[in-house]
Amino acid sequence: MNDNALIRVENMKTYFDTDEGELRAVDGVDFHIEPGEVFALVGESGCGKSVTAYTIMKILPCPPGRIAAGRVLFEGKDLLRYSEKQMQRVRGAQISMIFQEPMTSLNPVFTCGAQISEAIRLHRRLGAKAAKAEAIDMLARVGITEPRQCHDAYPHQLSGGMRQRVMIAAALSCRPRMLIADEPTTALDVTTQAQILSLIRTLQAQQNMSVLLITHDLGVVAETADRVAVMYASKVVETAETQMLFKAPLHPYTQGLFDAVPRLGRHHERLPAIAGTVPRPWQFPSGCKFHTRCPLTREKARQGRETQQIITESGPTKVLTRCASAEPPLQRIHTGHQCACWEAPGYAAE
Amino acid sequence: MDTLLSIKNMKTWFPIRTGLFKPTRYLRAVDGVEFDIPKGRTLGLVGESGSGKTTVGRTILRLVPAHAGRVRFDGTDLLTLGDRQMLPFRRRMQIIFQDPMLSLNPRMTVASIIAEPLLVHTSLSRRERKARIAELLSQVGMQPDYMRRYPHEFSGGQRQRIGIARALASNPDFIVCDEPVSALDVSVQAQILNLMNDLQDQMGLTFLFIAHNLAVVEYFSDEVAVMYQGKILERADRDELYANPLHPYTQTLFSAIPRMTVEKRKAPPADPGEPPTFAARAQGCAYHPRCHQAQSQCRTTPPELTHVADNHWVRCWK
Repeated sequence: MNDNALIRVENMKTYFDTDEGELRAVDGVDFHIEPGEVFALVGESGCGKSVTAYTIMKILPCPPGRIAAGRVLFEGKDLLRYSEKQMQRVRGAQISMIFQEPMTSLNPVFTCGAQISEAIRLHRRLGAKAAKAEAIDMLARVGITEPRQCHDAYPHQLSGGMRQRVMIAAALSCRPRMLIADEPTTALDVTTQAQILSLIRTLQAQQNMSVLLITHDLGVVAETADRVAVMYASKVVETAETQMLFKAPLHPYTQGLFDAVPRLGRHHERLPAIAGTVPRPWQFPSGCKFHTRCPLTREKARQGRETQQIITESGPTKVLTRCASAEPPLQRIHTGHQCACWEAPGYAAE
Repeated sequence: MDTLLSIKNMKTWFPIRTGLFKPTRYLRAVDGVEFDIPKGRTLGLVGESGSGKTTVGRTILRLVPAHAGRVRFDGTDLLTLGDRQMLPFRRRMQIIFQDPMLSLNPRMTVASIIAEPLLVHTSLSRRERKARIAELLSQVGMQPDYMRRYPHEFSGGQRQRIGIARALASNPDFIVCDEPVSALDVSVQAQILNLMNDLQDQMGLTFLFIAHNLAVVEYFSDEVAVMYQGKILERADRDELYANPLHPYTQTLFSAIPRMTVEKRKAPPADPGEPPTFAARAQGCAYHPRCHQAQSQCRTTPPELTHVADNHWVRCWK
């Protein structure tokens, strides 16, 4: 194990107690991020990617949320054992976070400048004047052409792209070691998205900061991330260097995701959709959670191995018994590429 | 091919109250749009937020009043009709919305949601209605016994299927699809796009497909129009537009799409600008403040939509 990692998440389990029972939003997630690395967590809505980020920052509402197990080692120290007071010194200073919709995460009654200075004064103990100068400097660094005017403006006076820049300025004002970006460009137009992504990349390289990028968009991953983890139904099903994943995805879910995205210049084919829908967290199937939708297990089931019948949305189908009964752990296939699928080529089943 | 919908010089302006005695100013959400859609075909309408694409769809359906222009649907100008005369046309024109959670009433069952257009536009008996609802649900790939459930019991993709079933209920010819898949996950988005494609083939539907995602629009449309600040900047057959985008704005939109390859990362986009607010409307060509090819002419005189090649129109001086 390489312990240069800036952050190492081990066996993280975050559950919610709901009326319908225990909801396992994150159920045994492992990954690490190295210093200066952009690491993406991809998945569809409800797969647990945002809850993973909230658990790292410890900003989950508890109850109903509950961190049931796991460790989050940040520079070797377990954040999950920190008191709230200790966490306050981490948030904003060492790990910062930006969110999808800047309008709901910026406070509408304070000027942009005040919201940036707040973090600076709190963590760096600067005076009002010095903090203001620092805030204006930060606004200029995130590419705002008139930082002084922007400093005195209220969030509603700015466009969506400008607001996201202000958020980034506030998040980076204390030079954190790590930035968590939760769907930072989902609410933006494509042209603005391209600008914000290249801004994140530039600042990340300048400050040698690590980034945990949470997104549902594989295009965004291709543009920004060094390494990726694909999440499905509260677990990581595949992790690899971005280049490897895009060249040869191993998990059938990842392959399905790649195929289902409409791409420029491929309009003559019918879109290969993944059958069925994402299962709800309190109705997760047994065994591999993807087996109810998996095309690979159906194909293999036709080759005369031990099978069983399951009922899916589109009717009864045959799948491999192993897929329906036992959950495959995440396993190394080759250097820098891990996958959790019994039938993936190179997966050594014990 | 027969033209089903023909739009000429359509303008939708919203008044902005500035003060009691001050002259009324207008927000020109749609400012002189024209296009035709032949029967059974799809026109894709692309643009950034605030470009007026949604307002185009709503004006055609007369959900918002037009300021000027002509909307000819199967030979009749809809803008001159009274509400009563409009009713038979409403049966033939429907809309699918972006967010199925916001467009389905949470207190109505699926059956009563789909029954509404049937009650307004048909004289089916109770039993016939129920049979029709079951038929519609299976048409969109859902089990008929789902009709007793409520919208919150379904996933996003299933809700969008319900929205489609409601749109199909009155047997329309024309459907405005306003960002029908942008709120959905990719795996589900593909299912919905395939479903809409199949329905179009089976029923000969005509679509106005409004979206901001150029790849989705390419997949779905026969012809594509690019909108910016209430005007169409470029319009062409799909293959022509995607092979040969001429307007600098269209080119910028293409270059901003994240590529699905990691071969080499792109340089940051050449266009440093942002979608402008309506208050700051420029003189001359609406796009010139962001355009890297702008000349002096662009700053003073607005260009007209010009025919440059076979069914390829561009609004640009160059």
